[in-house]
Amino acid sequence: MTYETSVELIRQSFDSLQSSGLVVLEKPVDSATVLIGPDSQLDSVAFVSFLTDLEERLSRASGKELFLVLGDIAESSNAAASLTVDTLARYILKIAAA
Amino acid sequence: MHFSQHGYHVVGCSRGEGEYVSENYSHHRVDVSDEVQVRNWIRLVNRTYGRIDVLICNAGIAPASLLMLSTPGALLDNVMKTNISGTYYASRECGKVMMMQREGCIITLSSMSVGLHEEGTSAYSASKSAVVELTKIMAKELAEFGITCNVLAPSMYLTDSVAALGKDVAARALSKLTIKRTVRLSEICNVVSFLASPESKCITGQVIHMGLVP
Repeated sequence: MTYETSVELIRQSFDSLQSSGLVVLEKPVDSATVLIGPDSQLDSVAFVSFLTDLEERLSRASGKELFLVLGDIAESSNAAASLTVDTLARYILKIAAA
Repeated sequence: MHFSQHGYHVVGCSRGEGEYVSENYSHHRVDVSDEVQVRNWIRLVNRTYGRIDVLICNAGIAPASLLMLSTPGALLDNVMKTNISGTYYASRECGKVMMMQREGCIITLSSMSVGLHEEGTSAYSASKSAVVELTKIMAKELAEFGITCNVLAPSMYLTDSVAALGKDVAARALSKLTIKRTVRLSEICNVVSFLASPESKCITGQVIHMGLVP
């Protein structure tokens, strides 16, 4: 799993949310896109759907069971005010390598 | 058995090996109090069958009758972990699957003991009371995804757990029931079938008491 792959899977999950009508993206997803915090385009329901969809994609791509645990993500974000795609992608690399 | 004979593919779990064998039933060894085991199991079930229509949270333990003052912390933890954490983890993981498929039915099992406030059942009754509250909150949170969440609170059904409560507790509880007899398995299955039926999509957050007016 590479950083680029992680970001691409995150992007695919956003696309999935958009096609199911759960979110309307105002701008393209990139590594600076905010998932939780000011400027996030996801409400709580959309965020849970996003994580669920992403977990499934990650497991398929990596061939092993990967779970995105919010508490662990928060710890790895060094108490940043926002959770961004970049932070999540780095967290994914960490758990995929474990 | 009832559901596997009525067209459902039933996936069950327990900490030990399963005894029931059927073409429409598969059994897995899972400790529902273990969050990781539950996550892996639900994901496996979803991958295998492509969807999860109904979740029935009937795993539970009932310790022998013990006054609150003499209930060890370890026993309390054990009861809470199985009865409430297990229900919580299974509902949460299945809820995610059902949310993505935009429909589902979650049925949790409480107990007549919640309404009886019977001495000697503090840990068990507290855990089953928590199941009721959890289910009502889930019902509100998940309604917009077409997921119904209801509680079944049967009166006494003779299981090993009930036997462990002791004869005195069982006799005292029976005497306090509105319908003073044990409930039959077929009667429990009937209510579960009703709640799982597509015609019950408008029923959520309810507690169905069997044998007792709470």
